Amino acid sequence: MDCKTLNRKLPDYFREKPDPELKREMDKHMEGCGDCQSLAERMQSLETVIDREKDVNVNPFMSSRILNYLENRMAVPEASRTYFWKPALVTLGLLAAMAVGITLGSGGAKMTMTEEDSLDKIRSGLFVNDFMDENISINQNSEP
Amino acid sequence: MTDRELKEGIIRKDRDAIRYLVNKYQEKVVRTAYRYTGNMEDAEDLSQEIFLEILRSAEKFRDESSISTWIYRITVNYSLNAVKRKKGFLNLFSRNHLQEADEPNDIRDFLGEEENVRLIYDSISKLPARQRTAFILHRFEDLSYKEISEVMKVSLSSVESLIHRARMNLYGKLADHFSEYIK
Repeated sequence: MDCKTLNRKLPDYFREKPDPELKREMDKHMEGCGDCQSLAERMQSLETVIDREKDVNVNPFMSSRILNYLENRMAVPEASRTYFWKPALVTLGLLAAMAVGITLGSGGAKMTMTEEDSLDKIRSGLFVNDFMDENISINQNSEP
Repeated sequence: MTDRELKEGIIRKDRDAIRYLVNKYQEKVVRTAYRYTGNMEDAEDLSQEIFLEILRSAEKFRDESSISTWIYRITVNYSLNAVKRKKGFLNLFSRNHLQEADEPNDIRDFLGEEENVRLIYDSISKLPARQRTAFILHRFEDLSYKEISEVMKVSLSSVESLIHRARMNLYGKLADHFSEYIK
């Protein structure tokens, strides 16, 4: 076995159960190779530390915490929909009111124009100028 | 409760099903998230969001894999995104942070050598994402290569290669320090 092969197989040497024949070959190589032996020792050291770090105590109340969170968050969408629809409905209402106002306003303007038209006609019929006779009566007996 | 019953229960938002889901998988989720975040407080916060995502995406879950694999997949993706969002997240796992921590599950309880743990997590956080995930799932969560390949949606040989490269990278970064420490 050469150093390159040993290097490649070394992780399995520690973590998995290696083939006994392979393990024997690796041991034999390391006996005569200081570099590989040193690398193997370092790997073993690291694996030991990782093993110690492997056990993590999870908060015993974590389940309750998660369930509470889920209950709150799953209720939120309903509430948020209400919060969304309320202002949306108010805005739509205002827009509708404005539209109705504009429509009515436009209709009113048209009516006014129609009335104006008819007033012009009336005025043209009632046109008075200085040349027309006016029935002015002067009271002779009146005193200043 | 079978995976199918659990999935249907979750979709129906059945309380018992959700409770069963949380009780059964919370440790796995918190532990895995912790490997990415480097501190328990963040891992717990993240786990809540992960479970919410599990409930929300239950309808998308197809029975091609087990619920466990699917949950690991969501946990890994969520954790990677969280770490990415919070750049240098793991780097915050500093000496000061450890000194301030006093929870019973304080990481110092496991080693007594906070510097070593900091170094491990710091080095793991610097691994490329795929190497990091393969290594965490294999080395800390004891998932088989096949399970990891299903979680990561890669071939078995890719998993093997990723784990090997992750190990070699870690050994390169940490070996000197730890051989002194152990001796």
